[in-house]
Parts: sequence; structure tokens; C-alpha cells
Amino acid sequence: MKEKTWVEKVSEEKSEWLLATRLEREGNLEEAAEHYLREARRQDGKNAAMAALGYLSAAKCLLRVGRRDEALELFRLAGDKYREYAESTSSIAPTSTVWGYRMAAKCYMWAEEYETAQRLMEVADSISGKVSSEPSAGDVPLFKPYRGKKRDAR
Amino acid sequence: MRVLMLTEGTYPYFKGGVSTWTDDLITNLREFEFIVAAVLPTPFFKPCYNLPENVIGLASIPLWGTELVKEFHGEPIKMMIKRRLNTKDWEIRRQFTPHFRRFIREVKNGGKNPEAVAQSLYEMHLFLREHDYKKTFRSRYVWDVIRQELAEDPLYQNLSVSSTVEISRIIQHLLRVLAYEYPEVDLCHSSAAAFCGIPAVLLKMEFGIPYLLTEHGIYFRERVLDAVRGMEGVVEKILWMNLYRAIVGLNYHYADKILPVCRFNVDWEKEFKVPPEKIEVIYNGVDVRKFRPIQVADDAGAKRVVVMARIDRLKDIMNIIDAMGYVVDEHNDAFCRIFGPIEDEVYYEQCLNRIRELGLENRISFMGPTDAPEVEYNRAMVVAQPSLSEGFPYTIIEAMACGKPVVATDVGGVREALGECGIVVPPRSPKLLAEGIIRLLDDPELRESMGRMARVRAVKLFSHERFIEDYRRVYVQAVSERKLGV
Repeated sequence: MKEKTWVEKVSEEKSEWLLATRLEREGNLEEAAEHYLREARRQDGKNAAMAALGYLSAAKCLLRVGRRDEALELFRLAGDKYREYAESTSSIAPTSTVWGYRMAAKCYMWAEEYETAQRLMEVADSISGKVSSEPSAGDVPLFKPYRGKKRDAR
Repeated sequence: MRVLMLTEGTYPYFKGGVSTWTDDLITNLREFEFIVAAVLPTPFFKPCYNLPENVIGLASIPLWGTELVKEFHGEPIKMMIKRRLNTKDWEIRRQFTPHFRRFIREVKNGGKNPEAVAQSLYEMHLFLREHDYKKTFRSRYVWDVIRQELAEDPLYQNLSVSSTVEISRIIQHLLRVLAYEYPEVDLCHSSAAAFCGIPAVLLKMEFGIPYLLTEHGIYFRERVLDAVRGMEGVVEKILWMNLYRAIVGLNYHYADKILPVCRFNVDWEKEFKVPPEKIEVIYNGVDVRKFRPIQVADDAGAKRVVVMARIDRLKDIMNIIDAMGYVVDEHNDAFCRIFGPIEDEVYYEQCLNRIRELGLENRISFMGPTDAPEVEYNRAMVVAQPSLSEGFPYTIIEAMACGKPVVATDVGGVREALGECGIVVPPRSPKLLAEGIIRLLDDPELRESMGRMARVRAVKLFSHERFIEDYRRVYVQAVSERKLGV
């Protein structure tokens, strides 16, 4: 029996994502969309951002093969998930919240729900303007660093 | 989603800030599968972390200490023999040396053209995947390239033969990352702009896989410090600096996003002409429920200075030893406890000698690593950090979260972390470090107010939840942008 390299061994572990990406690259878009959807449903309830990306990837594939109505539905689902992600991070990581709302807005736009898209973009912009709680080089320390006049002799 | 995490001299084989960061990230991003590829000095290390379940593979890439390049890599022996027999001199000359020559030329000028560096590395990688590494680098054609390229350059032409041999020897070890195959993944994440980032560049070239780069300490700066301290010969130093510059520039160029742990790093990245939109600072986070002010009964009121650092030149333990000499002159009951593993035995011996010279045997103790750092911080009256180079040190934000006043050298992101809640002093200045410590030992109100402010700042800005959530988002964002252009 042929011995396996470590790359072959780790590659044996199944990954819906990798499989979907490979299928998409090979032009097998409908099958790729199925795997993206499977991954999205697996992530749904665990990680909203990953689920959203799964729905979005599936939607893009379906759009390219002309299954427009299904694609629009998946764009809307992706938008819902990105919004859920944004809301879940709002008290923790504002930069992530802004990104989540912006992604949601884009998805709703592709789903042709323009009003929702516009509203979420405004929410993102309003939070973005307030994200400045991080320290910066301009923060003045209470105690300035000591600067010895003489070279330390010891 | 599958991530290739690339490390160098850190996780999972060595303890330290970068390893803590890596372990924390992998453990908390359970929805991602990780494959860890760790560049390390020799294969004779064992992981000192329990790998979480979502690590589905670990590959070690030793640069030294192996006779055959993949002998500790689980590669079937038949494959190695076949590769060796299939590596012909004419192939090396025709298919390898032109790319090696191009690489050396690019290195000589500091890698000003990162795409040329990448292309030469990629071509060498393609060759070395199918051919024997050792036979290739032992070939006279490879030696001829190095000799000719150095001899024809006015800057390097006066290098001695022994220096040229040494350069050739080291380069062939550093390039060992090229000999390995890497699995197709959804995302690569390197923890340094170093040789460990090369696989990410190769995978990006081959499959278009997005590459994230987190920069802790500035790799280039640390190599400059090494060169200044360790090497003889100005020309040799220039060559090594040019090599490191080329590798760092390569990483910066190919990374889709650079995630420095502090703003201090951004200045270095801008120096390498990294576009600002590629950079996003993500501060390390600390578990503020674990690291919090707690009552420690045993020797409350003792003038205990605590240092959390591995025993290594970069941490400048000598700085705190000398500083304690001054501190003890003022407070003869003060003492220092240093917690951390011994990374450099020679340096450790030098530290012990220095302690003996200063008569501080009863004042400074090396305690080894601790499993309960939160307790040791809380035992401290003052926490000190004497380092020469840092990224965004956990030791500072952990001490802050414990509500302790900190005196630290002004390196890396230390000033950003401390803000108004600590004292920063220039590095390599033991007298000034001592003055900071003495000031805090003298003034209980100052200690108390600084500690209180430090805790508030740590909770507000450096929470663990934020750290994890930002990385979760950046992972998904990188894949989205790469795949979907959004």
C-alpha cells in the first residue's frame, strides 16, 4: 500500500469549504453551491459570519448559472446572517460590527431589498464614526519617559 | 474553513507571548480547522502545548539538525530515495540554479522587487518538491552561483572564502521551507513576517489563497539587533540585513492584510511602503476575569518586584538585575522575582554572574515558569518589564488587568498599552528603570491610583472577547474579499 505524505493525510479530512472552492474553480457551479449551502447550514446557529459567507458564496454560484430567484433568496439569507453577526458583536468589537452591517447591506442590495440595504449602511456609517476608543500614539502618558542626561555609568 | 497557521520558533514548541497568542486564537476559534506548520531550529523539540481538537495537522520544519530534509516529517523513505536518485546534476544546473541566481541577486539589493523574489522562490519550490534538497544545495553549480554573485559585486567581492562558505551554508538552511509541500487551505495566517511566511506566499501564488500576517515584534528590527550584537564583519551584516529585508518585504507585499499587535509596528510597516489600507491593528486581549485584583495573603506589604519574561537577551534581564542594584541601595528590603523559562543558558549564566558581582544573591530569584501568573502579579508591589523588544506584551496587559502599577521599557506597543497607567523608561537604562521602581515603592497612593486606572483601561480596551471577535471577522473577511471581491 502506498504510504502517504503529511499533506495527503491532512487533506483526507473532509472540508466542505475546500471542496466547494475547488468545484467552483473547476466551473462546477451547481455542485459547488450545494456544498456552500451545506456548510452554511452547518454553521448556522454557531457562527453567523461563516454561515453568511456560505449563503453568499452559494448565491453567487447560482446567479452565474441563471438560477436567479434562488440566488436572490440566498442573498437575503446571507444579509440576515451578516446582520445577526453585526448585532452579536456590537458590545464587543465595533470594527466587526461595522463590517457586519456593511456586508449585510451589500447582500440586501443584491437581494434587491434596497431600503433595508440603505438603512443598514447608515447604521454602519454611524457606528464607524464613533469607533475611536482605541489608544493611539497621540495618547499622552501621565509620566513622560525618563531621559537621562548622562550616560548610565553602571 | 481550514487555516494554515505558520509559526517560527514559537507555537507549539516554545512558550512565550506569540505562543500564548497562537494557542489562544486557535482554542477560541473552534469553528475553524487549523493546520500548524512550525519552523523551528532543530527537530528535537516536543510540543509544550496540548493541541486543541480543531488542530487537524502539525508539521514541523526544522532548519537545522537533520541529515535529510524531511526525515522527521513522516515522508516515506522510498519517496526520499527515489527523489535522491532522480536528482541529476544537469537538472540542478538548468532548472534550479537560474532561479537561485535570481534570488541571490534580489537579496543583494534588499529584495526591492518582491515579485521577483517570490517568483524565484516559487520556481525553487517547484523544483525542490520533486528533487533532493541536500543534493541540490551540495551541488557545485549552486556554490558557483553564490561565489560568482558575491565576487562580481563591488560591495561583497572582498568577502573571505570562509565567509562565503558560511553564507552559503546558512542560506541553504534558511531556505528549507521551500522543500516541503503544503496543503491546500482556505486561508494562511503567519505569526511573523519571516521565513515561516514563505509557504503562505507560495500557496497564494499557486492557488490564490488569502494570506493574513500578524506582526508581534518587528522581525526585521529583531534581526538587526541580532546582527549588531552577534556578527563580525560589516559586509556580512549588510548581506544578512538585505536577506531579511527581502523576506520581510516579500511577506508585506503578498499579505492581503497585515495585523500588527500595536500601532508602533505600523511605522515600521509604512517604512516598507505597505499601503495603510492593508493594515489593521488588533491588540492582544486578556481574560479580565482570570487576571483581576485578588487578595494574596502570604506576604502583603513586601516590596516585591515581579518580572514575567523568558530568560533571553531580547528580554534584557541584565537590565532589571542592574536596576535592582540601585533599588536595593534605596530599599534594602526590596526583592525581585523573575518568572519565565530559560531560553538561553549562556545568557542565564551571565545573569547569575552579574547578580553575584552586585551581591544581589538574596534579592533576585529566577523562579522558572509559573502556572498561576495572576497570583504572582497580585503578589507584586510593582511589575517591571525590562525588555529590548516587544510586540504588544501580554505581561503588561495582564499586570494591568490585575490592577498593578507597571514600570516598563519604551519598546514596541508598551507605551500604547500603558497609556497613563504606568511608567515608561528608555530601554537599556537600568538607572532609569530603577528610578521608576523606586518612585512606585515610595508612593503607595501613586501605586494605588495607577493600578486602579490600569485595570479600567485593560477591561475597556484589551478584552479577550474583542480580540477573538476581531480575528473571527478578519478570517471571514479575508476569504470573502478574495473569493467574492466583497
